[in-house]
Amino acid sequence: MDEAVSKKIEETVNGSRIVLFMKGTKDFPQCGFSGRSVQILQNLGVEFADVNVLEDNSIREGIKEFSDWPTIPQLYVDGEFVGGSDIMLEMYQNGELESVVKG
Amino acid sequence: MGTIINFELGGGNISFPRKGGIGYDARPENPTNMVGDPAAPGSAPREAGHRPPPRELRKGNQGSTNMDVETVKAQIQAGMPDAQVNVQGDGRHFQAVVVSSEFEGVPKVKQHRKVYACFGEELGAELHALELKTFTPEQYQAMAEANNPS
Repeated sequence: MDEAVSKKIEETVNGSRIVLFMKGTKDFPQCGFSGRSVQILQNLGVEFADVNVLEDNSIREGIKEFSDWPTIPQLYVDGEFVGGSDIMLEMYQNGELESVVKG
Repeated sequence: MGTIINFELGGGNISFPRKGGIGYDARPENPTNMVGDPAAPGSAPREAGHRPPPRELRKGNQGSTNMDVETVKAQIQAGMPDAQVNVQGDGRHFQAVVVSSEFEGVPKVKQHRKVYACFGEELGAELHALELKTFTPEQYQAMAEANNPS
C-alpha cells in the first residue's frame, strides 16, 4: 500500500475516538450493511466520525489492507479495529459493543 | 427469483425494533443442510433472547441460485475442511454460518478472517457480500440446547 495512504488512514483512525469506514455517509448510507452499522452506533447514542470510502478509492482499497479485512463497513475505536458489520451486530446484541464504544 | 426477506439490506432502509434483535439473523434457517449437525434434526438454533422472525420470513432457501450458494459453501469447506457450513443467499448477498473447532480460543475478528481467507479477490467483487456467523462446536451446541430445552 502507498505510504501516503497508509499514513492518511492511520491519522484518520486516530483522529476520532470512534471511526466508521462506510459506503456513503451517516446521513445517506449507500449500502445496507453500512446503514445498519450507522443505526447501531446511533442507537447506542455515541458520536462517531464517518469516512465515505466511495469518495476516495485509495482509502477504499487501502483500508482493506490496513485492517486485513476485505469488506466495508469497518469500525475503529481508540485506533483499534473492532470488526465489520456482522461483528458489530453481534457485539451490539450481546452488549459488548456498548462497553467498547462507551468505555 | 426467490428472496429471503429478512436478509434484504439494500437501500439503508432498515428499521430497528425497540427491543430485541435488529433485522438480520443469520442462524441456519435449514439445519438439515448442516453436515453432521450437532443439534437434533429440525431444531433451529437461535440466539438467546432473540425473537424469531415472523413465520412468512422463515422460508429458507427456496428458488434461490443454489449453484452459487453451493460454490460459496464449497469454497469455505475447501479452506476449512473440518467446518460445518450453511450458506443461504440470492446470488449476490450470501449469509454463512460456519461451525468449526478451528475457532476455539480465537477472537471473533480472527474467526471471520479465517473464513474470508477461503476467498480471494472475488470477495467484494462477484461475491458482493458475505454475512458471517461463526461458532465453535460447543457454542453452537449450547445455543441449540438453550433454545430447545428438552
